[in-house]
Amino acid sequence: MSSDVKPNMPEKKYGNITVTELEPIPKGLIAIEGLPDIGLVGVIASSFLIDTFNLKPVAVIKSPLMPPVQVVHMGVIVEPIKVFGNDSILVISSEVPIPATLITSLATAIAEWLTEKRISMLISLNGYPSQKRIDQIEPHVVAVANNLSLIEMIKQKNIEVLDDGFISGVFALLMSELAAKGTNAIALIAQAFENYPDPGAAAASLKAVSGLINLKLDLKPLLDKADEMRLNMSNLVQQTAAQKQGIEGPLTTMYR
Amino acid sequence: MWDNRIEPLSDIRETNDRIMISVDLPFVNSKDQIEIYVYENLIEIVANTSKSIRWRRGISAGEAFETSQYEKRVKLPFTVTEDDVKATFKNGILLIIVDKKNIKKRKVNVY
Repeated sequence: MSSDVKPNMPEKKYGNITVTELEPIPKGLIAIEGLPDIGLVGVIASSFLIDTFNLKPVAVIKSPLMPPVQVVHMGVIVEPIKVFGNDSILVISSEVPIPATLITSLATAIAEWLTEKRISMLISLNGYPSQKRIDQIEPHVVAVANNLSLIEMIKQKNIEVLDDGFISGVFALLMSELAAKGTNAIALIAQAFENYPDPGAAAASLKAVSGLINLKLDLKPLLDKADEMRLNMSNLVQQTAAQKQGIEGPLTTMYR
Repeated sequence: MWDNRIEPLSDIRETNDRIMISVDLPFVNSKDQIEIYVYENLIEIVANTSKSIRWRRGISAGEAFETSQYEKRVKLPFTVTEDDVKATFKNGILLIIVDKKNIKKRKVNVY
């Protein structure tokens, strides 16, 4: 048992995934998913949101199928996959890559749990690999939604919609599962370095979040810490890229 | 990894006419902090960071140390000269392009 989970906390089981709620979670929140993916866009963005809004851990997600890894912070073990929140947003983040074998059950469990929590919408933050990223000061962001009614809203916020293509990973399944449950979900996918942590892409995706839900964000502190993040997240980006290759094989040409 | 130098993240891709090596260099702000050497079939990259950084080897409880230098060596499948190698540094990424047009193609007979 880690420092996050105490005895007798309420546990919910979804197949081989367990969600332990550390705090009561209000209904109607906007959930933001930032699990490890291309360029660690979601991880960096979610970490920034957790720090900026001083979000507290509200739930822990565990599975016996996860590798036997515990993250250590200040000498104490903590769970790697957690949900942070306040009275308006939930942020789902992980400090370890999600094994390919766990993606389906994790996405199904998160979708079921978020639906029980009656979230108003999920926004998923991800990256797409682009060789042109090196030439971009501000990376390009495209959006994908899990129902047609959201597309108009996205266009009204001047965010480009990815008309045709495909998406893969936890967020792709999560959006599909949420669609089946009638819960809105939007993925914001930023042009990113495929094999390097990309704080610039994370900042671009957060700028899109800010426009989408009118969330006031000062992104300068994120960009100021970009070098530090690129260095500190180098191990996680390598492991995530290896997992991603396992899912997709050679990466898509559609995004390049 | 050599001494207290960090091996940076890198990516190597090959096409019919070139090899592209990209290297992520956090805390390197200018091309003047980067040196590239070519030794026959080896490219060596050394870069100095603008501040000292604390680094821990491996993902677990490895030994931590202070450093201000990256080093990366890339072994190529053929010999190159400096004329075959072009390098640019943009957005914190070093991109080295190795031109393959000077590689001599030798025909092998099939028996």
